[in-house]
Amino acid sequence: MSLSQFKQTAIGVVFAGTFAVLVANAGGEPESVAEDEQTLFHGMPADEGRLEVFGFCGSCHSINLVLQQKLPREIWDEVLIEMVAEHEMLKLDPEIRRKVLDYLEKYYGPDS
Amino acid sequence: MFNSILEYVPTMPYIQRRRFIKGVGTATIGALAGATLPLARSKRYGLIPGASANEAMPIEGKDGLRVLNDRPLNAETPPHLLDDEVTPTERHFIRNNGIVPQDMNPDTWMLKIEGLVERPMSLSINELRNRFEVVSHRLVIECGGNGRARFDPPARGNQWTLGAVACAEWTGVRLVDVLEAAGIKDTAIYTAHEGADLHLSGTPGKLPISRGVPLAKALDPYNLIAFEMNGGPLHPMNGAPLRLVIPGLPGSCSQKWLTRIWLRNIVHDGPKMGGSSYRVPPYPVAPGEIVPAENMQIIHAMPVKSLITRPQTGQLVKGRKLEVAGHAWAGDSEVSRVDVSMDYGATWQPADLAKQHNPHAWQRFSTHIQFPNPGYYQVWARATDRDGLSQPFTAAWNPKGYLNNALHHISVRAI
Repeated sequence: MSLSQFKQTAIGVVFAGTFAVLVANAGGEPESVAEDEQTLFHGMPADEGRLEVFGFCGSCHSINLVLQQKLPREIWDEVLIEMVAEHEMLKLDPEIRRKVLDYLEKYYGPDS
Repeated sequence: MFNSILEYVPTMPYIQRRRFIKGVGTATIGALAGATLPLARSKRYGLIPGASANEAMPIEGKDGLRVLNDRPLNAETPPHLLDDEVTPTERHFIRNNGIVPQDMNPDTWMLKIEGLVERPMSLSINELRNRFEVVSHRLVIECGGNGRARFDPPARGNQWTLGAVACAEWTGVRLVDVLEAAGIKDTAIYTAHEGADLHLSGTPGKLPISRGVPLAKALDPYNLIAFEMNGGPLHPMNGAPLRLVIPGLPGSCSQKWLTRIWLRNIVHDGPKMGGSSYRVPPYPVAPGEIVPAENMQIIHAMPVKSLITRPQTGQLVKGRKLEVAGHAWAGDSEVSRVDVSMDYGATWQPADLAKQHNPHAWQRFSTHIQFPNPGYYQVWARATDRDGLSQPFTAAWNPKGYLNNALHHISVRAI
């Protein structure tokens, strides 16, 4: 794994770690963790890439802006390019970028 | 492992880290601990605690708006709440591109007029009031993406349905008067507008939006530098304490939290002028067609459109007679007729149509429908402008989902 991939995975783990710590402090039981997870992720289906999409696409603007779209993969690709070129988003490692696009294509495409 | 990974967070660029942690942390806290963000901070980021799309979250000073997104805050008005001739401040839709400014003090606010002018100026709101004639006009502001949710296949962007439009009474000074006082140089062809809102990334000095208009359009005497809406202060989410109101073009030309207008000898190229922002293909495209960005052209006028605001859709109608009313508008033009149908367009009846209160105001229409039998009906309205252009039955698809002026209908059940 490259250093960049490691850093970006680290971001995901820090996020997950923060989430876990807060859940523990809230005294959540497994069922309410699932409920809380549902609320936290605004109903995003649990799958590989959810964490990355939520973290990278929901930090500047609400994740709801993403979740309201139904776009083909090539348009999501354009969106990612624009977010980096014009809106200060971190340039994603190719592997992470692929995961993000896979998730968006699967769950937020025209036929989803 | 956890501790060592944390060490890498500080190596992220400051803006990324602050933004990432703030965004993620805020969502976590909001969802899990049910904490309410301090209102001052929530105003600053346009953040409604715990909000998700489609919830009727209350917004301070607003009544009944449907929230599309809470960060940044974008909220539209259900049609039946737009029935007033003049849209009350609490019913005016909200559109944010960035983070609203913290300081909206009208006493210290300054507006700069710069660029290709003979005498650059820096004016306070009091100076604007004292030096220039103050006027009030009813002016339609419509988001370029109003109606975007109605496109098939779905277009990219905020999924406005019907309510990103309003016609408030705006008070201010004429843009043309201020520009002429500054002395417009012969080489000027375009305006460029700037506001005090911040880019969503929080990067200092980065504008979230800066659009402009062709000079000929800028000189329309109904364009205002406005400091009052409906006789009172501007709502913070509608650009307080000073904004442009440039009717007839997408609302993005009506810069909020206005700080600077400068004149240029080229088409302005600020954020949200280029790429495919507020641009449409210059040739008709098929739904879903990929259009190269370099082909896209700037929207030059909003098209003819209408909205049925009375009754609210979904009503039961007793006695089979119904008064239907709403508003119609037409960019820089004027609506010359509105027709209404209750049989999906097989037959149309003309509605009574009021004249414009002033250019760029919307026009009230109303008519009585007689339903022949009990049952379910759709009532459709179609506006035609003075050049004979009507609303289409379905809008021309474009990649960013602009200019959806397709016919609007309400549904009723006659009993």
